[in-house]
Amino acid sequence: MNELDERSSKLEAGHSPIDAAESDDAELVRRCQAGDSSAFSDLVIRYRNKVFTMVYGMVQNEQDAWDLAQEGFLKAWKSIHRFKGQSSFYTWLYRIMTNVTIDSLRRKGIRGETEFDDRIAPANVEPGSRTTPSAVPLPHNKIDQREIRQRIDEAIGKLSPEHRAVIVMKEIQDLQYGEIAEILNCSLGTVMSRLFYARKKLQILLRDVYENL
Amino acid sequence: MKTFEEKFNAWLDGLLSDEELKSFENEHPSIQQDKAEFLKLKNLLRDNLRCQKLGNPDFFNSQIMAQIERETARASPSARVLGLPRIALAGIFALCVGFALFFSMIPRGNLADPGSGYVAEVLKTRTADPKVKATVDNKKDMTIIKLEGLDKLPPDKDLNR
Repeated sequence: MNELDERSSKLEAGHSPIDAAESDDAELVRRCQAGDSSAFSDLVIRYRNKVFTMVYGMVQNEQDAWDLAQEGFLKAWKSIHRFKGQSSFYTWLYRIMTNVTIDSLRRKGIRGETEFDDRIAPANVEPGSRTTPSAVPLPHNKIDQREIRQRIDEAIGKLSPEHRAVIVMKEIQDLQYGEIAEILNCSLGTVMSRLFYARKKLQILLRDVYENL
Repeated sequence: MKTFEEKFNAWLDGLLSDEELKSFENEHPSIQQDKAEFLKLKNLLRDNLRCQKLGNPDFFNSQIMAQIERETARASPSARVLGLPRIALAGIFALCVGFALFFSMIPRGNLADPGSGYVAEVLKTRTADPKVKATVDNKKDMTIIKLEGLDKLPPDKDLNR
């Protein structure tokens, strides 16, 4: 195993306690601010997979996710001298990545459908109802993996960039509500509300998928 | 006061206190079914999106580092010679030189004075014929320049006819 591989596996292992990781981050950030680009390379190694998974979750395209993650890391390097350590480095990095991704989705004209779209809602839901009844499983057999993936991509593609961000951060990255609010620079209530409606929409769009697994 | 959405998420994540939990579940008796559905949705998303790994991670790093190197080279001292402040200073210097040349090389003086270098220069440039004589008559708010000795206008150009 060469030196880089060794360093990569150590950095990506993610077994270290959060505090230790944050103090490591702080040291690496300090070195970056002093102009040491190899320290930044270590930070990229540490966060590249998590960042890529998050961006991919929002754009559903490997090449776009790659490009956006690159753009985000480059922005992080350019503005690292402005990082004051008021939040953790990964919160700060995620904010940059989320902004880059949301901007890209907006440039492509992706706004998402309205909160409650009658075309996708089941007809038997009472208009005032806050919860949706469970679906009767559709009469087809197990859906294959590729189709599942396609259905998930399509469903996420119908969410607004902001709704995508909260779904990915909460359901896939397991971030806390406070962290999501900090990353998205919005209130906790906004995060809760976005998550509620994003989950509802995905529930409607993907019910037949998870009920038939 | 918490909104329904906040309570619902807290309930889903098991963050409600015992009292809040009891009250929320009493208010929404059919909600248990939702919990099971949301958990299925959560698992579906995790199983399919979490497994998305970055392909060729070393190349990913090397690309970023190459871009950083380019950026650093662009910001190096030799590159800063042509930076914006330098260009601005060069512009100001060029303007000063231009003004200096203008004031030293263009003849100045009272434009209405027939003896002034400026009028003489204009007439010399415009009339090569030595028979042509120019006089300047200063009136209030106007200056009349008379040119004598010019050739007559050809009949087809004379508007007075």
